[in-house]
Amino acid sequence: MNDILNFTTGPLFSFCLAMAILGSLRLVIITIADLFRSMKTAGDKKLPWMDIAIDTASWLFPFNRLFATRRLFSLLSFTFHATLILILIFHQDHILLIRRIAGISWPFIDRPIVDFLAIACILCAIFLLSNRIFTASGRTMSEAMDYFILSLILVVLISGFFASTDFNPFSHGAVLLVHAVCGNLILLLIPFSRLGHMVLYPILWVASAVAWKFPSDSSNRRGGMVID
Amino acid sequence: MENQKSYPYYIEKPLEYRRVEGFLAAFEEVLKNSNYRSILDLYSRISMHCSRCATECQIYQSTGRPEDVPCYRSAILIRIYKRHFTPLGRLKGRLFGSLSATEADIDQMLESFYHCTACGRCTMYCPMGIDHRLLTRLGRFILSKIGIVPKALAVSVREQLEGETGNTSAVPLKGLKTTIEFLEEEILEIKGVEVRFPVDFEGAEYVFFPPVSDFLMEADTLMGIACVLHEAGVSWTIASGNYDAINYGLFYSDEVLEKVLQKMAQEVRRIKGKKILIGECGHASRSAKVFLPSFNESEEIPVVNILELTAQLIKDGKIEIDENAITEKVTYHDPCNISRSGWIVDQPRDIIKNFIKDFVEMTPSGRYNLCCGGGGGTVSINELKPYRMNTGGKRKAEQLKATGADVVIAPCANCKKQIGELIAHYKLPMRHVGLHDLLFTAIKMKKQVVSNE
Repeated sequence: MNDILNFTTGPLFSFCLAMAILGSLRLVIITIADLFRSMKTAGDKKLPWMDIAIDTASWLFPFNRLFATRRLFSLLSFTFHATLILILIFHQDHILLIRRIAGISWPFIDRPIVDFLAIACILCAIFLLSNRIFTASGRTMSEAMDYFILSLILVVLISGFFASTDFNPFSHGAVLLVHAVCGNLILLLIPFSRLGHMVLYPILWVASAVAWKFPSDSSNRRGGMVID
Repeated sequence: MENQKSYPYYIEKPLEYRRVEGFLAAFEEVLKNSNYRSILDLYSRISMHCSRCATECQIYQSTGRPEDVPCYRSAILIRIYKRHFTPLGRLKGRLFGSLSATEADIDQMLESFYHCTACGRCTMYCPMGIDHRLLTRLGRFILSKIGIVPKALAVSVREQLEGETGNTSAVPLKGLKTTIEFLEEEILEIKGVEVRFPVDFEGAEYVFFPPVSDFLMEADTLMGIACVLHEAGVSWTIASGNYDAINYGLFYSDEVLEKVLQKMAQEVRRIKGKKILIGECGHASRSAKVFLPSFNESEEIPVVNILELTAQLIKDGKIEIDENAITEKVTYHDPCNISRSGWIVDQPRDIIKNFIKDFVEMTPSGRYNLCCGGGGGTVSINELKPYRMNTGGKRKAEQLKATGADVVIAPCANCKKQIGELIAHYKLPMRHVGLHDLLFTAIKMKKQVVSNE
């Protein structure tokens, strides 16, 4: 068990982390390159940068836009994202893992606070999953991947919580292994699934604005009816 | 004709066979000749299907049909794109043979894309900034390339671009001149002042493009605008070669959008005008303001909406208004195409506060307003009227009723038509007008004759 665990939290974790970073970088680079390509052919090259910045920033903070509608959903969704990011970055064990492979570290959040954040995050994730399952609009919109990703995150959170507390009813090693395997899988999925929104978020509003910038030579490029 | 498909709106030459094949060929052509591929790639990667848009879309709120959820509608197009135009999608298709575009998809899209009023409200509530209005328009564009476009829009566009009259309502120049004479006589009779509608006045500051239907149906709006421009001494003209701001290209076709704008710019150049002035029309204002720079690189022609100009003229003290002329309770409808971006939200209110004492806001209003229910060109499609009345229009009617207003201002030709029909359908105790209709009543005219000629 220890060998498998060491492999999962050692070489496999390094590989998955590298894939996540490099894959995300690739995603960001090709998206930005696409935007530049579009703007190069666009007849109108002016972009409403201030509006774009406001739109991008306004969803990051729990005011105005986020709470304009579905307040409970918004609150829990925001809490889910915020706590998840905090746990991911400031959990002592995660920092130790990074120090082991990269030699860098930063301050961590104390265990009782992290445990509290984890419980909040788990409850929010259960709510979000329930929303997909039990509401008509949620069911309508959700695809298998949506359920899978959220369930995977939930498994990582619950296993991580049990692995780091004294209330673990299961084998510590087994729980930690589940946590590590699922965590690695999430890292791998970041560049290849909708989790990509984590890294693409800052570009989204720019991209939507660029999409309305039509090529100046459109009429020379386009044909007429495809089928007469 | 046993295989004849049924369409929710009239189509000139309905395609009976090879629709999927045709749609995919059209999609491929559009992707090859445009920049849409990058946004489709991006949206396919980040669409979280959180369904926030569902709670704010007034169409879905009325119908409860999954096809009317903005994200669901967009997802059909994105799925077809991923399956047929990305390497991974093609591979998956070969391996599993599933998710290919089907006849059912075509049926769903041609209905769903024209159930959407392209109001853009869903985008305001999307945490990922997905522009469903853009995707609805792209879907309609691709469908139009296989002939699936509502006849009402296609016929109007053909008349505008290829017809003798060159405008969507087929108003001939002779008819325009007769209407103008009538309007000038009306102003003289009502206001006691001779006001001209200049035609082909070379070198004018503003070349005026109203929605051409105003010449047939909105006399008070045009008279109000003429009085404001006359009283403020603005140099303006109507152009005899093109007097229609309507641009249905905004709703379904990049090609039409470009051609109508090119035609507008050519006319401004012909009579050596300096700026384009759009009348009370939301989509016409947005198409000219936002998209003219894309297709008219050689020179910049500023585009101004009449509400902007009038607000500025009042601010500059160039117009006098009778503060007591309007005594009724008035509310204001923000047309989606000019308010959603925040472009024209304050200006009409700046005008209103000068002469309307009993003003009540709708809830919500401004950038977050509810659509009239006839946006995206759907108001011009008469066969969709029952749908318009009972879905998005129903929410709007409830909103109008809640204001308790006697008058609703709708400074847009499309919104006016839809709101007029809603008032009749729901028997609302109010009337609808343009903002310049009320200004026509309230403006104090000096006894003078001013002519550009």
